[in-house]
Amino acid sequence: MRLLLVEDDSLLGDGIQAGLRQAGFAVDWVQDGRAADAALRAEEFSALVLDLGLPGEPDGMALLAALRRRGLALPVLILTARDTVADKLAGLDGGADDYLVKPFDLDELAARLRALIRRSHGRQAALLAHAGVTLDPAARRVRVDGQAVELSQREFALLEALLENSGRVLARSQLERLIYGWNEEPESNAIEVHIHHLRRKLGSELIRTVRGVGYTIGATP
Amino acid sequence: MSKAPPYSLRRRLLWLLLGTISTLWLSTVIAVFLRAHDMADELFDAQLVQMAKSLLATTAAHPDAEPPALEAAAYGHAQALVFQVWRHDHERHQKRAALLLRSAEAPQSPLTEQSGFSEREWNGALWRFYSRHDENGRYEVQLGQQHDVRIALAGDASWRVLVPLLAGLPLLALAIWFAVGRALRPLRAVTMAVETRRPQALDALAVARTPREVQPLIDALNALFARIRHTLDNERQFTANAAHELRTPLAALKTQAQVALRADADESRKHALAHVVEGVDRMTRMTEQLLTLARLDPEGAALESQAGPPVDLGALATQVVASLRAAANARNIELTVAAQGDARMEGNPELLQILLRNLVDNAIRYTPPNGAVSVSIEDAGDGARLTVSDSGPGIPEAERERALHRFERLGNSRSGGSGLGLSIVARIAELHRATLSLSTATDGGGLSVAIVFPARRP
Repeated sequence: MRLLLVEDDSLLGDGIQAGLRQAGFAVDWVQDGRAADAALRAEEFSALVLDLGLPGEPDGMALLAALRRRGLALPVLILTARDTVADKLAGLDGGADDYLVKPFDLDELAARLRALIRRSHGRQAALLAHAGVTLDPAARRVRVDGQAVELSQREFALLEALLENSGRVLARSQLERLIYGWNEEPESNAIEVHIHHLRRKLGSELIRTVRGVGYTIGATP
Repeated sequence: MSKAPPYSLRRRLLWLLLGTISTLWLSTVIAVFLRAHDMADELFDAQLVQMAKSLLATTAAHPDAEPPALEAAAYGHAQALVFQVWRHDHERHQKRAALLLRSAEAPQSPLTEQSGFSEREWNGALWRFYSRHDENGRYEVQLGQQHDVRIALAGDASWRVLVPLLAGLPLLALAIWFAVGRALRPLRAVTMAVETRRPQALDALAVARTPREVQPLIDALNALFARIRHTLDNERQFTANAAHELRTPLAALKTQAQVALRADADESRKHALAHVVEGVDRMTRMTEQLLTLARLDPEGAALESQAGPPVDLGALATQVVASLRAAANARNIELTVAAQGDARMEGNPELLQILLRNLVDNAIRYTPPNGAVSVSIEDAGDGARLTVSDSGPGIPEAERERALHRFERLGNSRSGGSGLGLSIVARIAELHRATLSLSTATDGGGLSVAIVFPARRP
């Protein structure tokens, strides 16, 4: 799942990016509102982590208002040093889905993001499941018929993306964008390699190839 | 500190008013006494003349008769009245006087030698005498009346005036006591309003219908409250800003530490730990600058009275630049210092060093690698001018005023500044009565900070 992080403080931004990557997210990081706006126009993200105190124009609240005006529905989590109830109300009523006050816990940030993304896909259950395969995004565990299976980070992300979009066919380029951040350029056949590994570990039935289009879990040909 | 015990305005007013009124009354009574005495004099003198006339008339009509009426003619002052009736015979140019009649207490000798009115001591008291002859000088009547009678009458009159006044005095005191108490009620109201207010309450005192005399006190109190409120607001704002500013570096520290804890690879752990150290350094710098600001704030007055030896601004700048040379080299920034003319000035060398360090440190921090920072000191005619210019991004004109406020970091904060540097500089400049201006550097296009210190007093 790919996130956009907007945080002007370099140490904090670097830390959040590293921490969320450890939690299995693909994270793109920008340091001001203008760059965030450009990124949101160019790419598709599963969620936005937004610092309110941004330098220059637009600041966090203005950016949020603008993207909601444009009809962007992605989940937005505000990350800020302002902790008064009034600030929280302004943030949530301004279009944010969640609010976290600095300093925060990385695990909590990751959990909240998972919950936000889950709800944005209309799911209530924390687990992703299909045909005997269950994926626990929080514990980063995959089981096949109750048996734990070891997956690499990319394999896990790929499976998560396919399960998240089960019933839909995802193109290779779409999958690349979903599991790789900007400065993680994948090899040209990386997706094929990961799919191959997943099929070996989970059985060849689960992920189907749709010729000339991409891959899917659960879509009928 | 010794302090006189408080006095009661009510009691003081009571005594003052009672004293004034009593004095006034006393003088009234004295005036009454004097006037009554005058009137008694006239009255009794007229009475003496009248008695003398009737005695003379009686004697002339009945030379040998005993005039019994006179015994009773004492009008209740029998003891105080004496009289004699003399007959003067002129035989062959020889005068002879014979006492025809006298009252019981009257002596055999004449009461007075003077005709008309006279006064003298007699029988151990002051007496007033009156002597009158009939028209052919044959009979003479002499009357004497004790003077005390007149004083008694005047005293009596005065006493009659005094008694009701004395009786009214306690009533008056009571009336004054309550009237003053009532008049002072607005003061009580102010006191109550101040006493019952919560310590945090700093809004203006609202007392209904205050008298003109109390209004200045309320105005002064309200002005004081406003000043305290302003100071507290500033402090609160500063504390809030400080707390907010500390949250971001703290969040960065925590995040980097958690990343390090979780990292599988040595390389990413080292990377995160290096960032933890960087974060601690940043917080250290920020804490130091906060402490500097906190120390600066109450120092304003101290600098005024301080008259140390003149400070050589050029030497200070050279020293500060030398200490920051390494930081500039690390980012390949060209750091130059140029001092021209006599730049000695009055001031606090420690504070000026902090000012210089903040300016140069800021310039290095905000200038991208391979840039340039220049420090120059020159004689501006009316004082020394210190200029620090850099080739960094500068500050847009609209944001320059804001840049001097605490915790305002402008543009991108990748520099890791605390947002306090320029406000410290501004405060120290203010303490030295120097003027600070921000502009665009002529060469390099970055920020140029100019501080003009006032001329040294000769």
